[in-house]
Amino acid sequence: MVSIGLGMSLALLGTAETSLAGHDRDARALRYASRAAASLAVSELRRLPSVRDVGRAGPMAEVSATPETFVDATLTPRGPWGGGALDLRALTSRIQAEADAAAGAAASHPVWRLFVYGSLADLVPDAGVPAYLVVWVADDGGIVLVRAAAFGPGESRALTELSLAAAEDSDAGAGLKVLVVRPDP
Amino acid sequence: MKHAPSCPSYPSPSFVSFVSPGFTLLELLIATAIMTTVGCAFVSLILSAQSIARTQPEAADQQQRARMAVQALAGDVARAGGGLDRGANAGPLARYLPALEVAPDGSVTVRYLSRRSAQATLTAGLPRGETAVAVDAGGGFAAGSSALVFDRTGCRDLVRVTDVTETLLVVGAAPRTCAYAAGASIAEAEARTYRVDPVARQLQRRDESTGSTLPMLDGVSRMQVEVLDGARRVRISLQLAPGGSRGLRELGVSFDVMVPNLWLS
Repeated sequence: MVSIGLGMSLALLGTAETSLAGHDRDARALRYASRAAASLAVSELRRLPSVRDVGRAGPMAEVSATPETFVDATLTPRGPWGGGALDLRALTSRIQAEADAAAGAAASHPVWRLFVYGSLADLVPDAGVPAYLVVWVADDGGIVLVRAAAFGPGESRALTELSLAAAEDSDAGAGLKVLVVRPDP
Repeated sequence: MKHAPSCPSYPSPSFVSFVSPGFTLLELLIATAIMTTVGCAFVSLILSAQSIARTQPEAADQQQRARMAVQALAGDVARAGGGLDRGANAGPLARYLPALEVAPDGSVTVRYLSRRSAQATLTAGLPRGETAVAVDAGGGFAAGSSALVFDRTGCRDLVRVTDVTETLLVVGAAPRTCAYAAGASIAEAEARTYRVDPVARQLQRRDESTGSTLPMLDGVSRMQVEVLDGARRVRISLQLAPGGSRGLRELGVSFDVMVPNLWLS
């Protein structure tokens, strides 16, 4: 009985430890995924003939006027980890609220719009981690802001934020220069 | 001793055939040896299971605390060098000051600007003893936060913001190393030093603006920080040596952190 009790407690402890290690591994994978999404968005922004309209609303108010080609067919996609649907409109509102709260009393409150949204598996079929990538862009007085998120199971997410500046004499995407990278802002 | 009746008309009583002949001394010795071996093995199993049950929760707890400390340390190192979004000094912080410094004792200091909404340019000069800082956009700063004043000459000072208006920041009266001309930058910032206290065997984080030290992880005997690939990657190795805990072995933890803002510079 003593052995069985000890064995069971060790098994439970081992399960908890495995679960913690798994969460840690998933969190790391999501961080890498968010950086990959940020890189994708920057490379796509650099292809645009002009970045003047990226912060403007397209036909749908939440989506940028010049969205990237890697976009899902719906704004309520199903989570690739088998969970419920992701509401990209609600996530956009949440990101906006977070950004506004962080800005505080600052004069500038840029409006965030969807630029990239799709399952990581559609981009990298054998990625191994079920993640959904969403990238928002905003125009803050000539500075293009990029906020890349990777969503995973259990409401986990990782964020990477970048600030990009256009060349002084042109608003072409090719002239964009990364000023700052903020991992997990 | 009883004898069976010798009458030839009656066979020997049937119970006689059920009487055990007994064990030989050799059989008893072998049986005892087997029982002793099995018993010892069982007791040994229980003792080792007890020992594991005693130490395993502590080991799991230490691993979880190590994960949290590593996450905090890796997060700060990854943010090192994050600079201004706007103004004449926009771009990576490493252009103007050391964003990541590794000391010979193994400690590492990281500096980065923490919020993009709390960045401003000085609109008037700032003499050394002056506490009122005239700025172009002070609204995003928060009273009680730390800020970094710096310019293109390499001068830098960490100050404590005590009061905020849109055009004026009031900072603490702590002595500064430089006087700053109009056009210098000020922004909310973090400057943190991670080091191992060899006496307390503890990984600690020191906030350079307040001087306060926060314990991050117990049972750390050594930390080594290597800057690799032209400062693109930092390798941090921690030697975990849990003191006073029987059964816990020394554990080496090593992880790499990409530092994107150092690439940009």
